[in-house]
Amino acid sequence: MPSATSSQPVGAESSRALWWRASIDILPLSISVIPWGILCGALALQVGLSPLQAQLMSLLVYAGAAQLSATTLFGAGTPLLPIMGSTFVITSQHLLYGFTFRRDVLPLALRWRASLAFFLTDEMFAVALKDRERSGVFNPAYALIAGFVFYLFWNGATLLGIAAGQYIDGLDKMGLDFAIAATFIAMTIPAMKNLPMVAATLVSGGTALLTKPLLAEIHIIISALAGMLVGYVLHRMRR
Amino acid sequence: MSWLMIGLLALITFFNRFAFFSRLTRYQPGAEMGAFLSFSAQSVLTAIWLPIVFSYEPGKGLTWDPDYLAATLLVTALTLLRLPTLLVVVVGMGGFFLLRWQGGLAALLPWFG
Repeated sequence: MPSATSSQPVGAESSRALWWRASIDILPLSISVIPWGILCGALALQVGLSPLQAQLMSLLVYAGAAQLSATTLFGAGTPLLPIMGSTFVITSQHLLYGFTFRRDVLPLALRWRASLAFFLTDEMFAVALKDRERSGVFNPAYALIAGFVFYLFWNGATLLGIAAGQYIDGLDKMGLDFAIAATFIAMTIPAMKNLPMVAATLVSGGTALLTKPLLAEIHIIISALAGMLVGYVLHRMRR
Repeated sequence: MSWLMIGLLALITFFNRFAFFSRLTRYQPGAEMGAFLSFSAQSVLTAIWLPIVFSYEPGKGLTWDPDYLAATLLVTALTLLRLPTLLVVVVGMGGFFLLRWQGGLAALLPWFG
């Protein structure tokens, strides 16, 4: 029976059930990121970072594509400013994620907003957004747990790469990026349920193919905005 | 330089994540913006995975690695069967790395390529 629990963010769901549900939901994405984490850890050592620094990249910077690119640039002797610029560009889709959750997150205390921001990744965003669409409300505890579990996997995988990466030959040519593709395929195909969503998918994907050779990693945000615009216009025309 | 780099990169990624969780900006997304943003996850995820499997270069057209394409078709088929995401990801990744370990589609089916 629902009682006067409205002051609690979790509501009716027990915290054990919530931990369980969030962990299960983020598990497929956490598994698919393991090969990438290993690569990140191994590569960081190869370009001359110490094991502690390699782990701190995953503990503090915590952004797969940006870590890989910054590590590669660092290894090539690139100055700090271009490395910072490319990291900003590569992680710019987080601005979009923050914007999407802004209305839900803004009333929360600073420690909640800061923690949610720290754990905000492509994967946490996708899972938390799906949960919000399903239940109609954003559950900060659910998002934080999902983000935290993913963080543990990412850092565990990085540690594995630091410890064992030097023994694996040609790690960067094994096609580890397919693991990411597999998860995202499994998430995007079922979402193509109506015309605006199909159009957004096709336009975003097509734009990404065309612009990736020209724009490098900035293609993600540009293509996403193109897909969102077309999806939104079609969505409006249908009403 | 590496310590400084790690510190600065950590600040940059946190800035991008926290920017719209901060109360310093006054703007509130409305219902129309919400409808626009409802396409964000789908669009971003597609923009990330499609160029992993396919690549396009002017003059060369659309190209792909046969192993990536085969594994993509496997994952797509498993997804359309409505299997749980975890199973799809594990079987898809497993199938892909098995294929690579065997030397790839070109080694298994020489007449194919």
